[in-house]
Amino acid sequence: MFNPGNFIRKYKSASLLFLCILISFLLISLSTGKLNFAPKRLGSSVFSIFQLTVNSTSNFFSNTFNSIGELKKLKSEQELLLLKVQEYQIRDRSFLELKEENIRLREQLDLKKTSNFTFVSAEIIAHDPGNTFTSFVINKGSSHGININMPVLAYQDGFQGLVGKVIETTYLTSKIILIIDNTSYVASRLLESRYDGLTNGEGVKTSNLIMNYVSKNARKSLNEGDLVVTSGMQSIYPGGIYIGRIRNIDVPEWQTSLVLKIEPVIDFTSLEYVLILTGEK
Amino acid sequence: MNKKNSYFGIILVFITLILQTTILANISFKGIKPDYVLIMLILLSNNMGSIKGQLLGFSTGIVEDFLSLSPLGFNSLIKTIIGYLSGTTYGKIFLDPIFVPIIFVFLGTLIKSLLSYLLLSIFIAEKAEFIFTSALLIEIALNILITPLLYLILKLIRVLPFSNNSRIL
Repeated sequence: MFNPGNFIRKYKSASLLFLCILISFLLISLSTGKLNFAPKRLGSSVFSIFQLTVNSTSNFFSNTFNSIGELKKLKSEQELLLLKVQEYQIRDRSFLELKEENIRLREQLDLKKTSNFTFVSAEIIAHDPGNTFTSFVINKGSSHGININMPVLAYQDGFQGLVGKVIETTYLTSKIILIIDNTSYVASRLLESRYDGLTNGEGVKTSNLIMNYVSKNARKSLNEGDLVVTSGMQSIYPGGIYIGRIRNIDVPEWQTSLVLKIEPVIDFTSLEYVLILTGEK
Repeated sequence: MNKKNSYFGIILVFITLILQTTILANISFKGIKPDYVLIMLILLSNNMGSIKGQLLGFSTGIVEDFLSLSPLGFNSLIKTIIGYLSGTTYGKIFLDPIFVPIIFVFLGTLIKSLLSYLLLSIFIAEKAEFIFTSALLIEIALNILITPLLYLILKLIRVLPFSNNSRIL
């Protein structure tokens, strides 16, 4: 007669394997079912403390060593900056004149005033351990006013570019899904020609973004190097945030729309600090 | 492998996982990082057997899921299977310093990719098509490069034994 106890004792390894696989499958099914699966959040909270600790320790040592060379570098930078300040003071005067003219023109076209946003700055403390998913962990969480679906931006080379959105928060940290992830979609628009499309990533930090559903009528008015911004249409991302520049324009015959390859304005391999958009002023 | 070294090895894998998301994340080529935890799992499971190997794989996989964007259970399932398969070679295959660990890690990375593809095809279809790309080749190359170094480190800190009583198959 079949005895389950003897069977399990005889095939201990295989039984354990079957159990582990079953539990894992159950967990994946529940996780991807978009339930608010508390164990993952609890685990993230616990282990993110280790990430914070390691990051702080390594920062302490690297900052100590770097500070010695930094002093010399800072002195020469200060001299350059003083020259730039003088230049900007001259530019500021002409900027004010342009701003006044802009306000008058906007009033004439009855456009809404430019929104001002409130931001929380954060440091990236950890990255996704694998290569299949692309995410960051930052050192700000729900205790700092961060909520799920808040847009995340960054400044790099003079551009305020889109980084992604908050996908998970714990008390002290938050997880961000990047726009280069292939499950991340952003409603976007070409800055000059104003054609709309949908942008998503290819999943690798050094790869381009793909902008789909751009009308084929746009082909004549598009050039390589044109800027792509968020459209703000029915999206969590406000309009006008830089996403990237066109690098390649593909015109597939079997499709009714163009496929554009977009080089992100943000270099995700060298990103250290981000800004989380928490609301409007 | 004695008990003390087993526990030390297990703790080392968890430390490596935390480091893989922080300091070690800076070591990459074209945005692709080596999977240090996978390499250590394969090497340790070969010395611990299939039961301990799959338990180590399951637990490190769950922790990796907590730290990653992946669904809970994704990495635990993959690493359980890899830990089990590596553990079945216990006492059967002799690990030289370079050649055999590289073969194991190469096969382990391929199995990881295949299982990722199968799971993603079922649960997150839009990600599945991006598994078998040039990124996989880069990851295999990086894992192979790192393997002898990790093997040497594990030998030097006595997590892996110097002498091996296994026979050649």
